[in-house]
Amino acid sequence: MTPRILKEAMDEWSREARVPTDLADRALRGRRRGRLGIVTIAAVATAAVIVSVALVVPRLGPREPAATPTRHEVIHLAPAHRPPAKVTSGDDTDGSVLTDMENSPPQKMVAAGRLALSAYWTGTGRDTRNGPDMRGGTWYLLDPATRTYQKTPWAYLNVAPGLRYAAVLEKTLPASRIGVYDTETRRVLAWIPVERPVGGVVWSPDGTRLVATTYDGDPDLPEASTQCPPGGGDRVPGSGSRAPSANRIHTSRTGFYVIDVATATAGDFHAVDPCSAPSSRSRRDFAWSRDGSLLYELGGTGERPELFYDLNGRPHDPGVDYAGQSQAGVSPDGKLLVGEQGPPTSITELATGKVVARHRELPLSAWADDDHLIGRGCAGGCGDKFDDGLVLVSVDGRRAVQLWRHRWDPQSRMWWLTALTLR
Amino acid sequence: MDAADERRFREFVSARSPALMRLAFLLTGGDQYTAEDLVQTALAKAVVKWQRIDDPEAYVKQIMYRQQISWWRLAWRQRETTTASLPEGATADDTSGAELRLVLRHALARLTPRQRAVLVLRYAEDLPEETVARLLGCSVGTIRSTAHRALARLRVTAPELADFRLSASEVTS
Repeated sequence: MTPRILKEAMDEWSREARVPTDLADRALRGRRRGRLGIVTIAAVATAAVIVSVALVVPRLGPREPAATPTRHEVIHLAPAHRPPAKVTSGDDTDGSVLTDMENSPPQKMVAAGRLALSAYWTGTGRDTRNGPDMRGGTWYLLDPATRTYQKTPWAYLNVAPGLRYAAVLEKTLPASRIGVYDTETRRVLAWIPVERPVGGVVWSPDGTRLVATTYDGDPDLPEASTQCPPGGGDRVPGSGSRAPSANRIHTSRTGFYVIDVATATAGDFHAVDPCSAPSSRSRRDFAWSRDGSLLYELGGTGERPELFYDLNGRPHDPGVDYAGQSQAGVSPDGKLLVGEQGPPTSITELATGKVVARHRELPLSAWADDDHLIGRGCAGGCGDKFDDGLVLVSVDGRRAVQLWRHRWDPQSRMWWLTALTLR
Repeated sequence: MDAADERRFREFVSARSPALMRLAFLLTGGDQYTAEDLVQTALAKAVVKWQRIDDPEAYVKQIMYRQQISWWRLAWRQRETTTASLPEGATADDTSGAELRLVLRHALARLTPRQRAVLVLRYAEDLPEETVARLLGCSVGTIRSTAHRALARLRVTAPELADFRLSASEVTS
């Protein structure tokens, strides 16, 4: 029995309730049906009993709620539970290793330990003078109830930790509103309107907020080249100098909103200079720092691989938990750090600085638990050198399990994006 | 209550009574008349404080949650839940989705009001555990254990549901 079945059963059942037309009159005038009269008297008497009981044993009787102002929650988010601590065996265990080696793209849920493949995008790219045109394509979203991936109509989506909610944007980008989709009930809980159109959304690590990156044009279509002013870009914290600007940029990015999902309010718009980073990409979404206190974008230079901002859009030093240019970062127990993406990619023991492993082939994406990572690639035995996919690998690299094998034709111009999210 | 307040109250009832009745219907285990009583009692209390209430729907719902449980807890009126016999021949092998929901409905009606209220708030109303705990005036741990017992009881009263996956994370999530 899943929560969805429970909810559907209750929703269906509740629709059998008949709605009396005179409820307001009854409450205002004390009008009573014969049967209701008994009940109302009983209710009043009950209230009296509650009061008297409450005087003696305060916790026994429920108190009438106080009429105090409350934060107006539009969306009641179920809190994301703690992700599984360990990679486990058995299909029905929390940290189970779930693979789909039969289908490419995957149709059955792919997961291991703390992580699941929550969504993927597939589409074709078309070269333009300014870069690849990545518009169109299709997002597939994990349905946790059926453990399958379902085709969606959205132009963009991002799944919250816990896999229950997804932020979605309608076609075509940029979009004028953000949807919060519930995978349990398979409906959009609310649409959050934004004054400036949005091209990308990312959930905060605690699953309560979104950063929505705003664009004037479609972020997946490179803009005509724009010249940044000399020395353009925001001041670099601590250096007293301005960031080197790109000669030319191809993005229409304007800034971001930080959205409180429960109240479905976009808050203030924060403008960010696109010349801050010498990046030639058109999609330049903001993402969250690991503790959710800052935002960052990819910087595009070895010296400044990531540019950090506070939640008001002001340039900021990296947070104390900054792990450098490492996609996987620090292990859940805080003991090991995956270094800059190789090959080879080193794993270092933080306490001693000792390199405990070097992975020569797999780009390591994220920690599945303290002893395993998920990488992108092939665990061996792939029929074609262009086959890759997702691999679960031990820290020492000696054990690897292919989670999903990606079979593709390099001539097809087919592109893929995969998203790993905490379960 | 002046004329403007009364108009606002009537508009509120007109707009929200379907949702309030659906909630009451679930809280009372599918008893139409008790559901009407519950909504009317909550609305009558809201009328008294109408000018001081910022969020009428939240206020009325909170009264309904607590009132339903208190009616039962204080044994003022011990209400039998509606427990029609289960469909003949319903087995795990041949039970369709619609039949399963019917089975589940009967099983829900057999829960105590408190157990049912926790499941209704958690799953029908989609409220987080912390909110449910605040609304029902108890701890998060109590909500978790109540939900756990309620789901376990559903499985006992409706063995047809045993084939569906029920994990600890779903119980407490």
